[in-house]
Amino acid sequence: MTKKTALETLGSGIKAGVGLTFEMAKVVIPTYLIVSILDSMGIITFLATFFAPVMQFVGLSGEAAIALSLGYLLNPYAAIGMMLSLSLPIREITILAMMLCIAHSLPLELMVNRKTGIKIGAFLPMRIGLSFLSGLILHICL
Amino acid sequence: MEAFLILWDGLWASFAAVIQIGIIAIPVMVIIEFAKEYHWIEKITFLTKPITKLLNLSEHAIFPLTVGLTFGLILGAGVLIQTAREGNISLRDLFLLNVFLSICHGVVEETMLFVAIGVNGLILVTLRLFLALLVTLVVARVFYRNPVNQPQVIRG
Repeated sequence: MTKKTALETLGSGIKAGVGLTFEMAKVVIPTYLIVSILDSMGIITFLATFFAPVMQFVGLSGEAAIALSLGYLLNPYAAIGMMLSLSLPIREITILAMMLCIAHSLPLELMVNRKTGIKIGAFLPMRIGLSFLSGLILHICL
Repeated sequence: MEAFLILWDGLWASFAAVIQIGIIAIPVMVIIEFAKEYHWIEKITFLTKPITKLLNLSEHAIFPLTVGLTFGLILGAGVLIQTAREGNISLRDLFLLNVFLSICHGVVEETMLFVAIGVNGLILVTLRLFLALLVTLVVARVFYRNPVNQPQVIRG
């Protein structure tokens, strides 16, 4: 590998940053739009009432469950798009961010763990359990 | 008409959010790129050394742990696989590193995403690091009371 100059490093850093922003845009904008349309049709409220009892446990509204599931299954970008579109209060955003930091993109990340040559059976319940524990901790502390 | 307004508002609001993320993401990615190119990782291993000491991991675990913690699970796993291929890591260490890193990885990039939308990053990093340490320590105590230090070699 040849050594890059400082300018080349700066260039590839900017490229990576723009690339990441673009990747975010591709997910955040469509999610935001779809969620605001579903919300205006009352579908989000409908789904939220189902999740409300579970979410109450960590101090979140029912809508947050959908953002959380998106983050768990897809990636944090989709969850961020949804969170912004629902304009949740900052306290709920903080709790959700914490829970999503601990557990996100689970199908992808579990496969990455498995690639290193270990058994991953316990990893899914561990991460979701910890995710809720972290949410509960913030719910109590904030 | 109403649907059009919802879409228009949504387009602007989400576009503004992406710009806000970009303002933070671009400088952070530049820093990450410099860190990779100039091997800053080797200079910050003194920060992660206490973690390996606490978990009773071998010296070979320090590098994959530091890479995973700063740059993310995928890069960390890459280094981990490499270390395992060279036969320098025990199954115990490999498992514990996976537990730790699956909970706490890529703290720069992932925290930044949430800081960009107004979350206090310090809370995220501290609690995540604390929980990862706690869980890994429990797993180490419960499942690996007698450290088996046979190197684990991954083929392929």
